[in-house]
Amino acid sequence: MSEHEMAYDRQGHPHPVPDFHDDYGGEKFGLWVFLMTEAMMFGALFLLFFINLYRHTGAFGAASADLNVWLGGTNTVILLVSTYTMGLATLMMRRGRTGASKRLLWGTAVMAAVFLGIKAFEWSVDIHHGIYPGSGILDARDDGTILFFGLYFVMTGLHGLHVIAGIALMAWVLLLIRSGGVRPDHTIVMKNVTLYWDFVHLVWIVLFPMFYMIGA
Amino acid sequence: MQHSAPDIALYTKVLAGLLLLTLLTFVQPSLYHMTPGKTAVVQLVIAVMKIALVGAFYMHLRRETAYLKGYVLLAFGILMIFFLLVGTDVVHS
Repeated sequence: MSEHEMAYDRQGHPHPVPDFHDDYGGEKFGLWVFLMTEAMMFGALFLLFFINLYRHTGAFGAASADLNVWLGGTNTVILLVSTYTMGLATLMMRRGRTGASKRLLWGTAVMAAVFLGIKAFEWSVDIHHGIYPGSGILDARDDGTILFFGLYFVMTGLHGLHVIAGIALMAWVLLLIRSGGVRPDHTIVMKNVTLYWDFVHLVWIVLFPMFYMIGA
Repeated sequence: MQHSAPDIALYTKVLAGLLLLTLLTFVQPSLYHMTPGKTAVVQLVIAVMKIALVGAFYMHLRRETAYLKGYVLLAFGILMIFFLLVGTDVVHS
């Protein structure tokens, strides 16, 4: 008991804390607090999108038709399947199937990288055609189109940064599995990374139809 | 290992449901050609169904404590109030 740190209640009575680094509920709740701050950030951007969709409905529909639905759709399916494999990876780890868990985690990271590759290709095609914020070609078009593509680059760019962070977190989990920091009886870090990846998917679930489908 | 099959089966069923809703997202504009505004509303309804599935089953919210569920609901409630106030202002300005 002497090696335990102590927490004190209102009456000053000491209570031993077995392990500050194994507080499952606290670590999970902390991640949810972070996710809700992320939801507020993306929520503000979606609000901006809806306001401008209301004000420039026709222009938003026409600009949306310029985007490649098939590339966006492929990315939607990739992200959806990657959410599934990430969840399975955590399930496998909990059941002691470390090898299968690592393979699923690798697969998820590869799918995330493919998602980014497709997104980079889409952006490069748009930029090649002079469609990017501040370009002369885009600035010559109507306000609604300028706003649509401005929001498109900001929101898909911000989402892309989250995908990059997700890949980095998956690589970190793979290193933790190797070092024993993540193991079948201690999976909270992996579960939190899975929750984060689910959130990244949730954002895309709204981004995809709003940008790609309203003009389809 | 006896408990692994139902969980994986559930995950796979949810995946199938999400893929079906994704297919609906794709075909909806072809099946019912509407204005961009109305299409956005229908697409949002489909997106909310997908979010509910991911939140309930993949993020395990349906099995979470009332405390955590309440926190998430509170956060989204505040976001919706924000949407409602600004949206009302935009519509009437």
